[in-house]
Amino acid sequence: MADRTAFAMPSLGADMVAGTVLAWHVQPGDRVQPGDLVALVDTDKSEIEIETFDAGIVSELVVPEGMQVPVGTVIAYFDPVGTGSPRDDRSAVPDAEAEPTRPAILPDQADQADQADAAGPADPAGEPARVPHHEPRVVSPLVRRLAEEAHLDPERLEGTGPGKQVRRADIEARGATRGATRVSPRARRLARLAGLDPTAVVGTGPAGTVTGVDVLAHNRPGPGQAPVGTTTPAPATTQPAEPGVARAPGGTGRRDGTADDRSRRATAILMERSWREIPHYHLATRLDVSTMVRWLADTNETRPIGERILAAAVLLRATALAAARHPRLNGWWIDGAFRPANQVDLGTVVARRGGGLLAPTITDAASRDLGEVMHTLHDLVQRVRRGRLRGGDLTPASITVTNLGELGVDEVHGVIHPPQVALVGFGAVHEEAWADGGMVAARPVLHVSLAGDHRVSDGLAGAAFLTDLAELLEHPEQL
Amino acid sequence: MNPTCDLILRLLADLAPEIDPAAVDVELPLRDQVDLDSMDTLTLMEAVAEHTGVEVPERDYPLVGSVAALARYTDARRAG
Repeated sequence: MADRTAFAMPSLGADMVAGTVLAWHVQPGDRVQPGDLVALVDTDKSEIEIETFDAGIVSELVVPEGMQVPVGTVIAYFDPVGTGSPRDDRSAVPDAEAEPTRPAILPDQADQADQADAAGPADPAGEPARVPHHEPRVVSPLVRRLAEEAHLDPERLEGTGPGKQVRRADIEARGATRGATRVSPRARRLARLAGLDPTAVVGTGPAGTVTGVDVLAHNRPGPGQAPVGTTTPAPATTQPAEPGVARAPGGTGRRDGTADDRSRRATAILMERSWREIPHYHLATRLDVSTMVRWLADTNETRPIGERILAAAVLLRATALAAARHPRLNGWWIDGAFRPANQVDLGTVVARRGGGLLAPTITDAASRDLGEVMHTLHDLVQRVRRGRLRGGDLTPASITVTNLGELGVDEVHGVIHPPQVALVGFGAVHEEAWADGGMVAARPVLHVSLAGDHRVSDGLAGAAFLTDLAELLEHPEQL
Repeated sequence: MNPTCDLILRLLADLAPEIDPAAVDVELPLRDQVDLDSMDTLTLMEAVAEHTGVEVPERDYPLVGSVAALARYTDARRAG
């Protein structure tokens, strides 16, 4: 018997705990292919289009638009393709067969979701059990309000009251079953202003609901701390001035500042963790990049505009190849041990228009040629700046590159993005005095730095990496 | 205003929605007025090429620093 596939809220970055389904791009009955965009999800950092990695026919959208759920919660089910029409097929597939696939789902949540499914009797006509389209419902105002607070649609719930009427207990059971934290509207608003994830706040309201008081208590600034609504300054190396837009001193009002504040807060949490946990070592070197500069100019002269290469792509490609040769700089420190990555998933740092940074990933960068890296980078930057990343863009990176050359900065001593164990920093290419063979000449010079995790590698390994990187950049034609 | 200037301002606003085209002085260097990195510059040049058929080579970037200069460059190439 074919199994249906559970589609879970993916983790779109190490710091993401929950996501809100803003919009579904598919409806029950729709056929999906791997790579199809199925939903728009709001995280602390950005709105992100999430993709499916499986083919199938959408059988059920479990989570309604507007509902926030923890990472790993099942948000939809897909039936397999090619086993008859979706409707006939669905009634033949027992819910208990649901099997977690990528994106990963937590086993206990899968069980809970399945129990919820089992609670509703399957409609013989094969309509998704809890979506009775043509049945008007009697819903009390109290239930409706509770449902709204739980981000549930009472019209789409199967009630246990007379005539399947939805009762208060149904809403509360649903909220608990979904593993969703209930958050009052006021709490949600206050949390948004404070740049907090409301589901991370301990709720003291009815059935653990997070109330406005809880958010205020959670976020009460201590002495010397910034009050709610102000921008938290983050380490300079990871929060350069955004090239996208000049931010008005004193902020541009709460509404505009909110997304930025949330993004900064997410970055601040990650960087605090990095500085607290990772014993960094830093190495830096200067490279004469005359060859690269000349090669880029010559290459771009002969190429149509759509195939031009930027220096940033050359640096990413060279870093990917060097990282593949130095496994102790390419991986993650998890639970007290180093886990090497089996490919180079290259994190890049891209400034957003309107403020904030995102670190989208070029997956398996070492097996993409230079043109492909350039093409991918071009698309990534466009998506970041249009505020519409895709889930695959936020694949956990195994090593990150930060390039501050555009800002005219000469050199960056970076902060590693945990759980990664290395970060490579590039500055601007400037003409500098360069001594060679007893002569001093003006040459285009690039400063390269490496921040390494001393629990995993050391200065010797780091120096070998930088030497390899330098050699790769000497021969851009081979990249 | 020159219609090519209008076109370029529209492409610019499409690329960077925070830019108010009315606030851009077309005769002044663009880089002093708006923040564009090398990827933005390439994207703008691609859009110009798509709409006018004129591809600005990198070596000519210094000649097209302002919106008006880019419009004149484009118009000259299109005519010739």
